[in-house]
Amino acid sequence: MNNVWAELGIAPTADPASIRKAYAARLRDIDQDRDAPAFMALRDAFTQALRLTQSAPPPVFLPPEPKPPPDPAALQDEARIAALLRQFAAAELAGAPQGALVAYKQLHALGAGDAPAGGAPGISALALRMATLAANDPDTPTADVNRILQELGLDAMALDRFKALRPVAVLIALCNRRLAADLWLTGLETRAKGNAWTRHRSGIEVARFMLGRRKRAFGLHAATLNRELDRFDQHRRFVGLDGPRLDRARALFNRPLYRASHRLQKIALYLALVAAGILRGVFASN
Amino acid sequence: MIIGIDLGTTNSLAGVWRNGIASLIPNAIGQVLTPSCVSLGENGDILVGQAARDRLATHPLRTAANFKRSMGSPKTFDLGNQSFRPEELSAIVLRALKADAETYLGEPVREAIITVPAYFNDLQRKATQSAGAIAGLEVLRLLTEPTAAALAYGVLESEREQTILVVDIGGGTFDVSLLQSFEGVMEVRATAGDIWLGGEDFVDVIVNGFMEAVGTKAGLPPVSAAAAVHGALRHEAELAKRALSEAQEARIAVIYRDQEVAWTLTRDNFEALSEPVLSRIRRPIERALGDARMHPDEISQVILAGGASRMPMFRRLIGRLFRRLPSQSINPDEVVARGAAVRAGMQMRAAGLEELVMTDVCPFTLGIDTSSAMPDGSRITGLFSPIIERNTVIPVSRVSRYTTISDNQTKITFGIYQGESRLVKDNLKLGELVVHVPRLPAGEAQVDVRFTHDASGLLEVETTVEQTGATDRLVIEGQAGRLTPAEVEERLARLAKLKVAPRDEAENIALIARADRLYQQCLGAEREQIGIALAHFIAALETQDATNIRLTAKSLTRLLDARESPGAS
Repeated sequence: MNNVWAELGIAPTADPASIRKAYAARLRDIDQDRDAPAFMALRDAFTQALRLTQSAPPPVFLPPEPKPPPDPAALQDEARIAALLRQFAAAELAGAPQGALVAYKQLHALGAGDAPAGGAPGISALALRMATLAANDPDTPTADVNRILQELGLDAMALDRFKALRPVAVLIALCNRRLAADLWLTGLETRAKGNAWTRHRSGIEVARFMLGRRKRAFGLHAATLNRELDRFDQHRRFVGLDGPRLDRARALFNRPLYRASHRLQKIALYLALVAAGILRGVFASN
Repeated sequence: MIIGIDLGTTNSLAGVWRNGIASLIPNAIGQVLTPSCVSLGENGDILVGQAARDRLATHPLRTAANFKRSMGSPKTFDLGNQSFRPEELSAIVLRALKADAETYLGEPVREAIITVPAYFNDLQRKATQSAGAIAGLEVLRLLTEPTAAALAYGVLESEREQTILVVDIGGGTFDVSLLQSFEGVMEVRATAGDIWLGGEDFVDVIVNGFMEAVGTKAGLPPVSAAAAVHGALRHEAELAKRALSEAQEARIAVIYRDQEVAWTLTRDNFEALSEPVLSRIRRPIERALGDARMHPDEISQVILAGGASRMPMFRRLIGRLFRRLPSQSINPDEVVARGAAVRAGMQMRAAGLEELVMTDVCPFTLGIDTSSAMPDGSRITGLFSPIIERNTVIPVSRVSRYTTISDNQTKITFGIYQGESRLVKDNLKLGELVVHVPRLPAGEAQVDVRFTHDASGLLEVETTVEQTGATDRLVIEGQAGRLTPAEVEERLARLAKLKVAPRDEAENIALIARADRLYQQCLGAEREQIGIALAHFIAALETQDATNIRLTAKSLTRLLDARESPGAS
């Protein structure tokens, strides 16, 4: 190794530019036509030195362990699973829950894609993706979303076990549709019992959600949300949200209207919606 | 003085490094481009350059062109009753360039650097060297054409560290080279190409299109018949190809049996017909990038060289592939010769170039023919065992050890091959070497085979028998398409005897050849006019009255120019 640097006439370095500089300087003193051996020695040193600068350690090749010949049937299944996963991903990308559901069912039948979602035993990552997709798709009727959730085994009990970030997406998607408010609340309550990190993450989700789509959160119980925000506050140091924004969220939910009865809120929401509808109608007719 | 020569398929040029710049050397008729054509005159004189190019239309059986494409092959060209090898024809062109250089520089020229397509194989490179030797030039180095092009650009901005892709599409060859320059070092990283792709293929496209559309109907003999009319047709097709770089359509017309056969080709139609040729450009580019492990986005400059790169469709394709405008600030016909001149200057250690160094790679994998013994006693023969991988920096020397596969085997025959195929039968055989080994059980006699590739891209093979220490060098025996030193001497002597048309008459000879060609191409009054002017000029030549010659030449030139200026036809 030392003679590489000696050949180049520099101290060992990891800087390709200085290696090139040293090489260029040496190269000028060599007559490539008459002194080919000197050139080849320099060239070898140059390539070797450049290789040494590459950050990753050189890969070590071990002889591959002899594998039993794969079962042709398994191979076929593997290929099918891969194809189905691609189909699912494509449907997911295109936002087509029906297509994704077809692929999902076949995958489920093959026993594939059932790796548990992080921290949510009994619920596969794929099932969660499916649920999110269905709940987020505005064209899928609510009844269908419920059916899909049932088929996926995603009921309030299952959601009880949600402890990771991913299910939050489902909850929010469901909430966006303003359905299954108790499902959502149960989820929040349950997660509140989880560890600090999970609570913190769900807190972020809740805060973001409320800041972004507060109108749709009317149907929720202000006290629950406030409690969640309190927990969230405790873990604020992890959070990308700053103090003022958090305060705004809190102020919003602490207004007298929210403090009034649940029913009153609902009436207010209804009136607001009706007013909005009328206004929209007025503007549209103009 | 060392000169740099671009020995091209269509045109050849010579350049020299003088006063800190590369200058091109004008030929006897004052042009820097000398067509790579040789013709045998009626009086036995050899004509080179423009005169020969014009005679391609009038005397196709006494004229040769495109012989670069046959370099390194056993093919010969018949001019009248004499037959020539491609090396000899190239040598005749080289000798003309040498004479031009001597006139221009006012001193004898003995040494030269000649450019070759990067994708020329060993046989073709050696043939080029032989051509230089036959022309009485010592070829100090063969320089690859894309490297030369990069040098021509690189001298302008050698300070910046950059990666350059050169796409060189000449008359008959297509080359791609990827170069990296840093600290005044110009390194070729990878080279690929297609020696059967060039501007001439686009001319073929037009000729075939013409024959298909109107030629066959008009009763023209097929292209393979090489009739005089095809010389004229090719010439017209070449003009049309160039015109289509600027204009939207071009008219191609030839006279056959006193009838004009004409066809109008639009640019769109030309591009559609050229699609199969154009599609072959992509692969070598991909391979060069792959070999250098580079992504198209890492390229800092794309350089176009070669006359055919003027075609808009070619430039568009390169632009599409690399998403940037290629550089073409140096005339693409001249860029290779300018680079060769720079290289000549480097060889002379000229001021301003001392700081510039360059390295090149070998374009093909080199190896030998091996057999492998299977456990059941059977053998697989004809396997290619690479010794030097393609795109290795040259000069390079690599050694591999081989053993016998039979008991008491007394000799091993090493077939030396060049190519990328797994089986030697699909690669190019360069030569053979028989090595005698001591009688020993199979696998015990060992031979080291050393391949040494010099900076010009020429290969030397040396073997050493481990047990006896005996060494051997490659001796090529009966290799078709290669000249031995003795043959080179013989050709040199033969060429010396050939009478080449005197240089100071070159201008007049070229003018007569051009007038002859146009006479055949025209009809009616125009034809008559040319005939009269030509007769006047020849009569003036016989009087040897300088003023008279100058005047008649002037009026003849004006007449021919009027006929050939754009829009005249």
